[in-house]
Amino acid sequence: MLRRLAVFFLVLSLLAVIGFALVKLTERAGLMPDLSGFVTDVEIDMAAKGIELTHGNEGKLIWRLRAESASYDQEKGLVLVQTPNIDYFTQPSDKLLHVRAPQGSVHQESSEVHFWPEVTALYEKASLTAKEIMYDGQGLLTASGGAIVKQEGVTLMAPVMHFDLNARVFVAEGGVVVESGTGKIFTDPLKANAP
Amino acid sequence: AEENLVPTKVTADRLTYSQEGNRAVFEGKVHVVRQDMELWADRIEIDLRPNGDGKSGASGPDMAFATTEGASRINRIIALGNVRMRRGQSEGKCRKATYLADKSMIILEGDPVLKEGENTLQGKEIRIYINENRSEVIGNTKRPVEMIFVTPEKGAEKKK
Repeated sequence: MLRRLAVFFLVLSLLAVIGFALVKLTERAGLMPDLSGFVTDVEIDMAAKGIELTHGNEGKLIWRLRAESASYDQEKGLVLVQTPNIDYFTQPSDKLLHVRAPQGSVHQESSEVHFWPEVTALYEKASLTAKEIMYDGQGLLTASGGAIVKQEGVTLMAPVMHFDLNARVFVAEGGVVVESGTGKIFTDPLKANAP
Repeated sequence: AEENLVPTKVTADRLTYSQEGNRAVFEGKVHVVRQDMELWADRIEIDLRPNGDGKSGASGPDMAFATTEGASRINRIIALGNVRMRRGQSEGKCRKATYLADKSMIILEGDPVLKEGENTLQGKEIRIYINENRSEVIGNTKRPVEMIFVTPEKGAEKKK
């Protein structure tokens, strides 16, 4: 009886790792730590179609945005992007974070970034999907509308997830379900990106 | 090769993970199910060893620790509040259950009681030494060690 109880606690150890996968999604990637540069580079005053924007530093590519179209709403100070596909190369590891969504917007002043609906973010062996991802420009990222993170046989679901990139704290709330051992769930971001 | 993983499910109101603090906390109606084993608690805290000196020294991407062997960064797990465990005929309850990874030990505190069928074991504290397949029950004046085990009545066999 006691031994089985002991085994049970050992198994609990596995579950501890679930939340960690999530912060790693942001720790190395920061998901969108430095997209503010994206805003200043997009000083467009008209709509543009089939755009590709890149941002580099010392000859190294930092991020690349591809989109069907982008337009600038002067009144709201909002850059609106159709089917944004962002590749972000984390520093210094250069690992690829890929984020895509049917719609995206960036508020020029606050650097608030908003992706919706059905957003997908892939990083190494982890994926995050949600109806909406909001980045407040200050380091807080919220995935809402039923967020799901998958990583090598581990799945975490919650109505809302918050990633505080500054304090490096991840919170899933509103009723969390974590399942592990549900088979291998793994999407190779590079394949996912293949044109 | 794909690992043969045993499904485990955790539900809770909230999960918080602080990377600086190396701690994950499940709060609110925490329920863990793994095959025929279940655990309930108000709160489960999981303390990790900092990545730097993690014994696993996992060279691959940190994400790897979401797999079985990656769990070796676990330092301690504490289940708090209305802790109940069940597996088949065995049940246990207490107010606090602590799992110490380095010592491969579990400590049940807060009026711990373990039951298997009609047999009961209780005391002030129950310590389970996992690798040694040994356990120890500690009592005090207020809550002495008590073990109740039921044996068939003498001659009961003959009566049938």
